[in-house]
Formats: sequence, C-alpha cells, structure tokens
Amino acid sequence: MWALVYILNEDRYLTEVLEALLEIGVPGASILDSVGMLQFLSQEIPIFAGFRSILKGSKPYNKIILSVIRDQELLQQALATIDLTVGGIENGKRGILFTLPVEHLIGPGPETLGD
Amino acid sequence: MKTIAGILFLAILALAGHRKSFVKLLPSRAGRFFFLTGTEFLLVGYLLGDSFLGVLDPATLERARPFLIVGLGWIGLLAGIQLEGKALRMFGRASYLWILLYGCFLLLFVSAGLHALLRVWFPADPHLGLAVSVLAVTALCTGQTSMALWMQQASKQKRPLGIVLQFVASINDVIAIVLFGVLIGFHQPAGGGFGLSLPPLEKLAFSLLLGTLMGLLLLMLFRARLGEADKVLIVIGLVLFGGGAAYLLGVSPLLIHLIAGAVLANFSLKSDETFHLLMRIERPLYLIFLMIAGAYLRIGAPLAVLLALAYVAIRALSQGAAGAMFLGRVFRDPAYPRAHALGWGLTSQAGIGAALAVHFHLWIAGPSPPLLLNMTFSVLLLAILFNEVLSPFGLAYVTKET
Repeated sequence: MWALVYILNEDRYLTEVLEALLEIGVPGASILDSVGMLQFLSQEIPIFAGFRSILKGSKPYNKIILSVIRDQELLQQALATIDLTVGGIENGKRGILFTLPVEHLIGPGPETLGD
Repeated sequence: MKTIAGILFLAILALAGHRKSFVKLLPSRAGRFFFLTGTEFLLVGYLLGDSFLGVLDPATLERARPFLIVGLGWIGLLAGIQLEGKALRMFGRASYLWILLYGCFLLLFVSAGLHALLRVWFPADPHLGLAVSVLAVTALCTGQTSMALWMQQASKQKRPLGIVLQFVASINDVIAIVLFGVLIGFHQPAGGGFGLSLPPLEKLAFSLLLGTLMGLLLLMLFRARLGEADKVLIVIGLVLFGGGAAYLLGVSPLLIHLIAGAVLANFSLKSDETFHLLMRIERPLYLIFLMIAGAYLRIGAPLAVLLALAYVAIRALSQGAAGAMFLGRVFRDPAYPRAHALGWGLTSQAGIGAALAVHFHLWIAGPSPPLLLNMTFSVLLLAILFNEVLSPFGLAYVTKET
C-alpha cells in the first residue's frame, strides 16, 4: 500500500490529472492547498501591492494531490499517467511527485483504494 | 553599445541585489531598527551616475527612458490588480471615508507648509505651485517594505495593526497615482515633458479609456489556456503598447495601467495568476528603478538637503496631526494606546513614492528643466532616503503595547 503525493505547481493541470487518474482506476484522492517555502518568504515583503499580499488567499497556492493506492501496478500506472498528463514532471516546473509506503490504514475499505 | 552595457550591468546588479536586500540589516536585537528595503540602491545609482563613476551618464539614461516607461506601466498594473472589489469590501465603508479625510488633510497640511517654505527661496518662481503639488501628492505614498519587515519580527498580536497600516498605505498609494495622473493632465512644463499637448480633460479621458481598453484586452487574451511564458509575453507586449501610447499622448503610464489592472482584477477569474506573474520581477524592477533614480540625482547645493529635511519634518508632523484626527477611528484597540498616532507608522515613502519620483523626472526632463523642478526631484529622492531611516522608529512608537 502506498501513498502517492503530487505537489502540482500549475493548477491548470489539476482537473486533467484527476480525470486521468480516475480513468485508470484510482478511485479517490484529496486535494490540498499548499505554499512553497520560497514563495511564502518572497510574498511576505510587498513593494507596490501590499494590499493584495495582506489578504488571506492571495498567496500562490500549489495543489497537493494525495491518494492511497493498494496495488503496485496501479501505482506505476498512476505515476506514468501523471507524468504524461502534465507533459513531463522532470522539467521541474510541473511540481514534485513522490510515493511513500503506508503501514497502517484505518478508514475506507479496499474497494476505495483501487483494488 | 554603452547603453546596452549599462542596462545589462543594472540588470545584473538588480538580480544579484534583490536576493540580499529586503531583510533586517543586523540579526541582533539592536538591529531591529535597521532594514535593507532596497532603498539603499538609490545610493548605488548615485555612485554609478555622472556624479561619481559615470557608468550611467546622461546619454545612457536618456536612452533608458523607454525602459522606464515600460517599468512604470508594470508597476501601475501591479498596483491596479490589487483593487479587487471582493477584497476592498473586507473593510467597512467608514474606513474609506476616514482614510480619504486623512489623505485630504495630509495634502492640505503638507501643501501649506511647503508653500510657506519654498516661497522663501523661490518667491516668484512660476513652477512653485507644481513643485508644492508634486511633493504633497508624493507625501501620501507609503513604502510598505519596512512596514512588512517590522511586522515580520513583531508579535502575532500586532498583525491586525499591521494589516490596517498596510491597508491605509495601499489606499493612499492608489490615491497618489490618480492625483499624479491628474497633475500631469493639468500641467505641461514649459520646454519639457513628453507627449502631445492635449487639453487636460482630454488627457484624463484618454487615460480612462486607454486603461479600460487595455484591461479588457488583457482579459480577452487571458481567457485562452496559456502557458506561463505566453502570459509573460502578453503582459510585456501590452505594457509596451500601453507605455508607448501613454508617452505619445502625454498621459501617465502609471495611471492607465492602474486602471487596466483594476479592470482585470474585477472581471477575470485568473487575476491571482496574473498578480503573481507580475510579482516575480517586482523586486529586480524596483531596484533598477531606484538605481536609475539615484543616477539622476544631483545634490549640487546644500539647499536640496536642507529642503529635504524640512520636507521630511513637515510630512511627519502632518501625518501625525492628520492621523490623530482620522486614523484613530479606523483602528481602535486598548492594547495599543498609541494607535491614535497611526500616521507615524506610515513614515516610509519608498515603493510607489520612488516610482512617482522617476515618473516626475521623466516628465520634466528636457533640454533645460527649471531649477525648482530639478530641485523638487532631488528633495523627493533625499526625503525617501531619510524617511526610510526614520520609518522603523515611527512603527516602533505606534505599535507599542500597554
């Protein structure tokens, strides 16, 4: 069982990625907003547009797609699908994708995890 | 060739400098009053200018003029795009009224003080009114960098006070840009200035029309699904077009791009994306602006320094008085007994103030700009430097808790 974590820098790909994952059989994922460290630090000091930077929600959010996948074959397929959908993660501008082994899972049954 | 080398040199300095600036100068507690807010690049520019090293000589600066106009457009777009109705409604209508009254009284006090002062040295100068107006309008500007740096090291409890200060500063910056645009419409300096000599009302109408059209154009172009590089190209193209049109019509590029930004902010779902796109080069652009402004600076006589000190004093006193009259109503908290003196938290004059200074210089530049207007530019730049040093002390005073 693995957790797939994809930090997507350009949210215009979000819908496409989710649709592609659904198509190959990944049944669910959570989407979180996040801010990169450099983005956070650089946005804190305004020069010309302080008003926008003080407002909540004005930070440049990345999207984190979080999904738990039980089947290794499906996981490999999901990695390839994401890479293909965003036009190559390796160019460094489409975010970071990694997986983690999951030891315990309490919650939804196997049918929701792509088994 | 020298122009290209000069601009490249500035770009390299700005790109290297923006990573080192915008921080607290000293890590110790004693260093909490000293920030690197980018304003120090005014001095770098002064050293690079004709007064010392001569890297940025008058011919190079003259050829850099189109770049400055485009830069002003970029800054205007940034300032305008923050004017999103949804965000502006977060603050009550009464707050806007008090801020507006604060601005009016600040203008009044500064104008009266400066008029009395400048009349002593330039009693019959035909440009006296213009010099006073420009200095009064730029007195409204507040640099937010030192404010943000100060609030960054302050306790979390001070955040609401910091937000109010940034809010007041932002609204006043916008008012200053609009008033400066109007000033450009109503005054065409003899022998100087740029663009066509249109009647003032026509200039204002053109500004409004051009700004709205550019905003709509940007809105239309951004509807398509575009990559980041495409968007940057579109913004650069549009700012070039807007800057050129502003130059030709003799209107303020800052004002027309402010309007375009406001249109985009209120009618586009992607204004956040555009904002962050513009923000990416905000710091290097600002540093280039400061260096060019510094290179323009001529401190020929001690009078400029004396007048700058007097201007700083008049502005601070006016901010204190107008702030006590009106800003105490925008923010009330018993934990901050000095919040009634909120005006002193707005002492820094960099940011939009520096952009307006460069704008002013472009406007008056000509074969023989009047002495008083040249002096006004020097006074403004020196005041920006002095105010940057004073600013953390004003913030410390205002944000002191019981």
